[in-house]
Amino acid sequence: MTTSRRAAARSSATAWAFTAPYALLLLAFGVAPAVYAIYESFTSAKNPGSLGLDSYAMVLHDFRFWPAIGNVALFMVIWIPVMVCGTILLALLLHERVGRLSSTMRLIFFLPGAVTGSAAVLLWYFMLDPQVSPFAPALHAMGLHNSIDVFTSSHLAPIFALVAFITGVGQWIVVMFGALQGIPEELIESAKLDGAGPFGTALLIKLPLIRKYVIYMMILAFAAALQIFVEPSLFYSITQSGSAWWSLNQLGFAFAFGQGDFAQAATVSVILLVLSAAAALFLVFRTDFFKTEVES
Amino acid sequence: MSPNQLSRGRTKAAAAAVLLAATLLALSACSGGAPAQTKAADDPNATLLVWTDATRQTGFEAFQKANPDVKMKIETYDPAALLTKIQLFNRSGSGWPDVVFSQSPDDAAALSSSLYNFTAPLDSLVPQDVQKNFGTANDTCKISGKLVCLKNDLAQDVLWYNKPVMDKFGYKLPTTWDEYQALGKKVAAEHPGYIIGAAGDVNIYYDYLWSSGCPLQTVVNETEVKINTKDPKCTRVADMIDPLLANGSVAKASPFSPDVAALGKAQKVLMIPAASWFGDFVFKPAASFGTPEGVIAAAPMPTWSGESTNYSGAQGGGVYMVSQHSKNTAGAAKIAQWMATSTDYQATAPTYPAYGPAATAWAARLATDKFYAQNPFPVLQDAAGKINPAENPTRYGISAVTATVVAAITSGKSVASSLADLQTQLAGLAQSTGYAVTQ
Amino acid sequence: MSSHSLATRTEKTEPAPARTRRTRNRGWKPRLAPLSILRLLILFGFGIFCLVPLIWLLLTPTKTDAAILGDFPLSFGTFDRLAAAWQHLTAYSGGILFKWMLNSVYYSAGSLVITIVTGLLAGYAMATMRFPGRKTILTLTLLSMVMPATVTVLPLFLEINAVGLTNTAASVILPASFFPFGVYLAFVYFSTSVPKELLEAARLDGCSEFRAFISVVLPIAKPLIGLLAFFSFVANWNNYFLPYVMLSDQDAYNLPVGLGALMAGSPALHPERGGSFLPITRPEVALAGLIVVIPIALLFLIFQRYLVRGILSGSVKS
Repeated sequence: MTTSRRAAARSSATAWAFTAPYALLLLAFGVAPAVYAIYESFTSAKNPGSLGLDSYAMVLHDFRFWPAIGNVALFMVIWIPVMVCGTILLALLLHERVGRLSSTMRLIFFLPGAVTGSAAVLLWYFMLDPQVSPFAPALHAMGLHNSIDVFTSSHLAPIFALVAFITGVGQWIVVMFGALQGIPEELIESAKLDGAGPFGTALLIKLPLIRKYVIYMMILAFAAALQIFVEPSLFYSITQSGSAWWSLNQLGFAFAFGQGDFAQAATVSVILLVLSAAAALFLVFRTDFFKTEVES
Repeated sequence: MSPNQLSRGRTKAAAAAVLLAATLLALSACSGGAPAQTKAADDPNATLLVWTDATRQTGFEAFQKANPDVKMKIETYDPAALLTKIQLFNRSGSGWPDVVFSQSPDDAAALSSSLYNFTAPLDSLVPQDVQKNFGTANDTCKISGKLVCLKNDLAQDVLWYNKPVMDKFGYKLPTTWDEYQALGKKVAAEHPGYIIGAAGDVNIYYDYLWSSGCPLQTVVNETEVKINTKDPKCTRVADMIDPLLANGSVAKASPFSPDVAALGKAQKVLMIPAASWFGDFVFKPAASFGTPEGVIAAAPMPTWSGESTNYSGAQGGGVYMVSQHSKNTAGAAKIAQWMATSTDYQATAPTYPAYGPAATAWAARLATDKFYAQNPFPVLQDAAGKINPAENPTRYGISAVTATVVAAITSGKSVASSLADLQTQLAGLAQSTGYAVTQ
Repeated sequence: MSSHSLATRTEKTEPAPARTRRTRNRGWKPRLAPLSILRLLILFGFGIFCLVPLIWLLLTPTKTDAAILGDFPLSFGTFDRLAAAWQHLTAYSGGILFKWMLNSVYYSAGSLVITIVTGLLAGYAMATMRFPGRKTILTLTLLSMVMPATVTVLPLFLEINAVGLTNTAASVILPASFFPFGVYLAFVYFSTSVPKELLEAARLDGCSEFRAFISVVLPIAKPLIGLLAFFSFVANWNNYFLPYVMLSDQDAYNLPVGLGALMAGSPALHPERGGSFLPITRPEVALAGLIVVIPIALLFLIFQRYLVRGILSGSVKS
């Protein structure tokens, strides 16, 4: 009993020696800023020094808050299913026959997401303006003849979803594809021998085996969608469509950057953090997400 | 206690310890963050940190060349970061730039307010005669009775027009906005496809609402603004422009969009009320309207009915600010003053200099430029003194115009229908930045 | 098949039995033809959506600003114009672009090294050892992944400022070294692909945990290191927000922040802000985008092998 305890203590010490460097980073650049932000959200720029729910009350009553919730909700409804199904579909199709074509396509799918900053602003504006776009024939066929036809308020959520899909899917295809490659050949072959077609193999054999990655992706996709920032600010900066507070994260930025009000900015980001964390924890604890052999 | 429970208990304890440590770390990091209130006497040898946008960088470099003994460091920054960075420096108590150029005049209102406490008053740092030579150009830099910035350039509006086409169609230049509206109706009937303005951009504010004096940024004092979109000065703009948007003689797109650029290339932009820099930077470049030489001229802005002055608005007009935290405010003010007033530098500047004598030097470029059908400088100079003083820089800016009025225009709705939304949003923004709103 | 061979085999060297089965599979092929066509249609169809923007971005710096509006969108301009655009970018502020490139490489490489070392150690420990605090760290790691960037602006700045590191390379490298996404990947990898028998053998030989890690685990972890290196490098190479907050000295900027400041100060994308004589127009913006993207494309090709084999499914082992 004592020996085993001592052994356990020793191995704990080893484990912590391995984990400590990362734990320090986690503490300094993950946990501490989050704790501070939570503290900051209970302060108020108007009454420095007092702690309370002032900033929460102000954010909830801000005329920008509820419209932003609506916009983000609409975006999530469109983008998350497209993103999750699209990634799985494309990854399964790429994995159906592995070879040069598959690897070239993965690079092509990955690169649009690597275009960032001013170049991304320029790129996506020129892809969508029917006057100058290489996709002009398609846009004209959809009845969109100039930029104001495209960038009206009601089109914004689908446009953001489209761009977020094209720029986001590549990275997840890389991850999913890696996961699919990890499935032992025997499993797939024996499924085929049992008479399963390509559909059956993909849906009944491959998909359940990469379940963890799908959950992982859903968690991050939910958080990413809730925190959408790049696409609306990108299009706002060049077309002035939407607004500087179309999404919640933009509103947080407007508080911090436009008004210098870090308390309300922290409040918005804490709201985002709580919603993202709730979704993440729900998925994690409803599944065997963290389970490894060490625990079984 | 089972091993499982034991480990769970320990996990919780560890988590609590982690959180506690983090909180302490975070809190200790923030203490001592208040900006220094007391300031040592000026040190003329202190190195001066200059923040500039990429366009003004050559100017600051010219100053350094002309004054090699001044110790300075010039940094290009992203203008969108200005307010945040100052706020962060206020929290950390160090790092402020000594001189800042900002493209946005509204930044002066924010940075001089008690929320930022950044700008140093320049009243006694800039000589009186220099201040006088600015004329009314620096009026928007006077906030709560103090001169908090120096204006770099003016973006007063004039009526840019295509002379040959106007002559060919036999149209007279409108001198009132009623005539402008009548002209729009005529153009729509006689020459559909031609435009006399483009309003699908925030310039609907600069060129139409501001010139009319619609109270959207009417500052009463540091804590009070007047915003009233029901004011006749606002509704008359809607009444004037809505029929023209409907009949297509004023474009629903932005003047910077490829759609309007295509019209410009085809010389179908008959006229456009717009800022002083439109001639050189919108009509002239091949990448924009690419208008040939000898075509474009400037006319005075039309007058709103009932007004005695043909007021203009302003789209742009950057400012120089000096930090009150500077260890060398006098030296910093000298740089700002040189940038705004040096005839050598301003004569080569892209946009209309705010400083009177510098503007005269700058005029030489326009006088010899064959691009213009006639020298636009006299018209520009006249408009420079007529920027409607009803509107001032505010801490909230007018970005709400895009989400309301511009959104209405581009989606085919009327300006009139968007004014109520504009009221709500602007008033909300004004309140969130610490103003009381009166109507 | 042992997990070990799973982790190290490459695409081309399939185990023999699989190959024989594959040969037999050939017989099915004709029946699948319509489905194969559908597969290719979907892949190529989406490929066009991705490829056309990339081609446009490649062609744009060869054209004049005016030609971008007037000419056919996918036309080629001239090499002279491309050279001019390059010259305009590099001439700005005495060639500071090169400094920004070096900074980007330095910051990305610095973070990458710390990320890999800390990530491998922690991922390995959490996957193969059982110790108090393990689940807490895993949970906090996951939560950090979903944390919005706005949460950290002010606290990170205050922390870095409190230790006097703002405007230094460390202010970017250290916070960016915290890469929970990578740690989680390492955790999944080690929890599925390190054969227990190997570790037991090493321990029985009297190896310390650290020696076992170096001699047994690291060689197996090559694909993971490749994957971590790629994702960490891409994230840091493109990092805008952190350096934007931490740095206000233009000599310390990385590429995205430097280019952002340059573009924001020119009317290329913001003509409404007024005039400028800077020769920074839309072709220069596109070229700046390429300067950032091309290294990523090259890295993708180099790391392709690892990106394919890198991560193995957690639930595969029966």
